[in-house]
Amino acid sequence: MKVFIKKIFLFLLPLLFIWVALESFYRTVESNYSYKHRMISNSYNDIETLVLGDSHAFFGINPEFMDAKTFNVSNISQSLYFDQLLFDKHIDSLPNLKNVIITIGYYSLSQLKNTKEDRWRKYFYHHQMELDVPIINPLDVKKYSLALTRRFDKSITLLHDYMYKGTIVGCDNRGWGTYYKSTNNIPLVEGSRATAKRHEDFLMDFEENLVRLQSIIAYCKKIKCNVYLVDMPVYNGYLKLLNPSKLEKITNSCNDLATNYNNVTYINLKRDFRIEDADFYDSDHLNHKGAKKYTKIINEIISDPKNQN
Amino acid sequence: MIDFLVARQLETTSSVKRKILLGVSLFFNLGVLFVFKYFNFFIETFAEVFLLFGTPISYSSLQFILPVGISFYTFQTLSYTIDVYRERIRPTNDIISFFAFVSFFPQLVAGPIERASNLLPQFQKSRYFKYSRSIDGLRLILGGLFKKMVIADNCAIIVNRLFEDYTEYSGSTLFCGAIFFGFQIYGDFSGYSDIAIGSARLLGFDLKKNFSFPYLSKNLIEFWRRWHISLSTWFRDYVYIALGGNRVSKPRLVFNILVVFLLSGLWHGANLTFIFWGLIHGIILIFTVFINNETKFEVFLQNQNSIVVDFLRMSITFFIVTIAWVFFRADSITEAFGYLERIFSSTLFSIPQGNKLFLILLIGYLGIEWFQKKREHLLDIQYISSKSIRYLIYYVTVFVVFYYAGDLQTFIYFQF
Repeated sequence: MKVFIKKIFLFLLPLLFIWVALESFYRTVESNYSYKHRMISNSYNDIETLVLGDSHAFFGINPEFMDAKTFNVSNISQSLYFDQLLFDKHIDSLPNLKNVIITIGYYSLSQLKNTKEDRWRKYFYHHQMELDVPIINPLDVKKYSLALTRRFDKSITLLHDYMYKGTIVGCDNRGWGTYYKSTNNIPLVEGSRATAKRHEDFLMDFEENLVRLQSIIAYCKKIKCNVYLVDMPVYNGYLKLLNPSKLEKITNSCNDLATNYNNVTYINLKRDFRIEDADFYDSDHLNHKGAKKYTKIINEIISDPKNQN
Repeated sequence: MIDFLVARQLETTSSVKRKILLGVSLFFNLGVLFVFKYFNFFIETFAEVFLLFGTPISYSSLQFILPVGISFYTFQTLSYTIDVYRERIRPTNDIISFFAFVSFFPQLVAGPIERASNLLPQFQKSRYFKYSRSIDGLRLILGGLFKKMVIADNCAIIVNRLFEDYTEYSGSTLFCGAIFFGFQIYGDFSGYSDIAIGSARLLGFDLKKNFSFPYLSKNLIEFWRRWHISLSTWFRDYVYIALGGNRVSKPRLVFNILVVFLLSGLWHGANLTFIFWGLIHGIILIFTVFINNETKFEVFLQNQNSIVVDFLRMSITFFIVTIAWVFFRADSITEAFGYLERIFSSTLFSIPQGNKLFLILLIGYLGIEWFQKKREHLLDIQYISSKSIRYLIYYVTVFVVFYYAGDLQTFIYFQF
């Protein structure tokens, strides 16, 4: 038995070494999560507009083209669940906040918490954005080790990127995602079908997420802050593949919020004539050029005194 | 509990009462299985049949959550009472051992379906640590993880996409999809079995082998001797032989084989797709049996002793099994026929879309199995004298498992 245990230990030793190396990599090297957390914490007193949302906001709203000092705290696959946790975490530290922009996509209102998308991300929110994430079980070993949260091949890819580029941060100091360049990387027509399918969750129950939105809105109202619910532009071919009744329900829900709360404005720019096919990176994300154009449109709307409540 | 009590009574009861007692055991075991697994299927099918004749009937289906692994442990405990009835084993008086036998955790949810004659005595004797057995258990677990995480989980991604949208793909792509499913279910189920057997071995228990390189089979009879061995031997011992086995007239033999394969299909799930899957295997197996018996064709083929002939026979068997898998994977009979219709269209001879390298690697994996075919399992490499090479193989396998693992998928056989 002793020989067996000794041999097992020796066999596992290189694996333990790899685990320690990866753990120290995740703990010491800055990621989008830790970078955003550091940047927002450093600019608490300056921020006038806060952007929440998923990848559509992350790549589509560039704070550089906003008149007000803006920070984009959105992230890839960030659900309203995490939007609310981030909002609750930072709101009391933002004395000059005037506007909160929340992007509403096709699945934002129906998205459940703790989905496949959150599988590893929730630990990064916990470790690197200092969020107390209730969906993480205290007995979950991954709560204490980031190296165990991501697939090994992804970790190796990140390690490789870090060695090659010197960073794995993919956003600028105002939180805008910089991966997507100014060309269509994925064919819009072919990509639309796959994306629409991926985004279809067949869920029509918005209750849980509407409660989250109402909580954010109510608090904003209390601190005299405007909320802009923003429907981001998408490629027309993609839009046509989505369930029209769900789209209608999303629009109605946002309109209801705008009616019921005087600090809420709903901006539906899913199809805006100013955004052309060349402004998309793929069927539902803007590229650099599109983000610049779109942010200017948003900025115009927000700066318009008519929309200041 | 019923089986434990029935078995104890069987030992001391006269022949007429023994049959009644066996009937009680069968009634309760199959009754529970029927209520949980098949009630809704049969009631819905009856309602559909009535509707076909223009008489709609109202019915209410049962809203139960299917207990995990119910088919496995029901068959395991059934085999115990039948074996006691047939006086092949003596009933146990040790209720703890009996319950441990029925609910032994490594094989509880997806087998192998153990026989009391093999597993029960192991609970009743002292177990000692044995180095070689424990090491072999770890090898089995590692091999099982490779099959599940690398082969099955990566195939699942492709298979799910192709079966969901089969109308969008060419015949050649769909045929590759069926092959991928063949590898998925093999990796998934034999991987689980290896992990279960390996875990049990670490605890000092020896479970029966459940897979023996089935895709190297040269005909369907051999395939069923190598695939899900614990289930096929269960059906052989408790259904096929009970029906008379092969020492019967030809029509009766056909009937016996068809019954076994229909039940085997139904065992997998209450869906016509599984019944069709069983039926296809049954019909082709009947042909194989008759060709072998009537024409001595099998003897002729065996005498060829050529790798080319073996390879051709394996390919034909693999092709048949692959086509039958379409029924196993499809959500409905309509979908299965639709999928097959598209496979056997003019696009069958086009260049398939998707990851061809992965398919080549899977065929390459069968090459490794071919190399290991006389060994106990994939990583049975004790015969390699160089320790460094053995360790290199272990580390490469661990690396491949970590690096190339697909997205986590539930074990397919957990649903049965």
